[in-house]
Amino acid sequence: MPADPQDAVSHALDGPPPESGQTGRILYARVRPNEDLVHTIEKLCLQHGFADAVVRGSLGSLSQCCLELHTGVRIDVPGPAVEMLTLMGEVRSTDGAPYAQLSGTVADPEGRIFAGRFVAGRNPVCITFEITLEEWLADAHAA
Amino acid sequence: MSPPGDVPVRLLKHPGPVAARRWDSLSCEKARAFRFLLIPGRSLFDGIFNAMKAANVSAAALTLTGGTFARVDYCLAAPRPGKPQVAGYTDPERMGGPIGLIGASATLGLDVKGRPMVHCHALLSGPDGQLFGGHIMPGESIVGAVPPVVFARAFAGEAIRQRYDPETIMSVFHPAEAEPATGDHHAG
Repeated sequence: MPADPQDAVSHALDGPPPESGQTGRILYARVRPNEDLVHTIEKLCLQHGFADAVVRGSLGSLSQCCLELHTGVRIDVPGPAVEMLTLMGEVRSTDGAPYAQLSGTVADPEGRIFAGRFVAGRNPVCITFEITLEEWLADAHAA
Repeated sequence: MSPPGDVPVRLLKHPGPVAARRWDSLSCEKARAFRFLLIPGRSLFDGIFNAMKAANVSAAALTLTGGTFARVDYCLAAPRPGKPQVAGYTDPERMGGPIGLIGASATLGLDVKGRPMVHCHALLSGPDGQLFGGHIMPGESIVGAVPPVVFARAFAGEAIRQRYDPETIMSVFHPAEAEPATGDHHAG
């Protein structure tokens, strides 16, 4: 009889419990050309006082795109324009400074698809970018 | 030749005057949330418009996943030689179905004439699992037998409007000006 893989699962707690919380405000923005996608999402969080946030759908175009792959290698996708197809990610703040981690898929002007993490400072908006962010309000955790 | 991942970031000169404000935004204290299915045999626009109209919503940010399209008309953004804009939409390409929807984002707002309008970018898969996608034509793209699931976050009032943008000389969605029902309105 084959071994039940569940028997091998340790039930000892060996990591921190998940962060609990709830969603708060939601913001919608239109970003103008030449602004960096990643830094603008961080600035929107500063402006609206969102310490932590989740990307809730965003669409638009970049004049050029730089993605970091899971290997750490960076690739450049020339435009103009590079269309955003899907975008997911979050913003977390440390000592009040927001840091966005965004990954997704894009199409170049010939329709080729690329995927990866958007490198801060290297993803300028082409015509427009629409961004929706939802605030994440973590419960105060017991010290 | 720059190494990969290190090409210079070049800004683009758009045809119109550069706005001093680099983004417009609005925030909403309590956004209503909705889940619905698109309607098989009807357009992407019809499915979103019908559900949102029934909920009395005219501005929303939506995410779509799963399901199929029987037909998708889509285009990409590329340089248009001879045109003043730095990039424009390519001529629409029509893909026959069934096409799988992997993921999409959409915005519902009002167009320059005050009519409902949907802006949608999607990642789709063809019959061999190959990926494609771009700017989806909402009125011409027809839902297949398996309707995609839509999650929507609604903004109160007419919060999102298409406006002419003098900088890019294109008409794009913006948070509506002076919209007291939507909560705090900020300018970047």
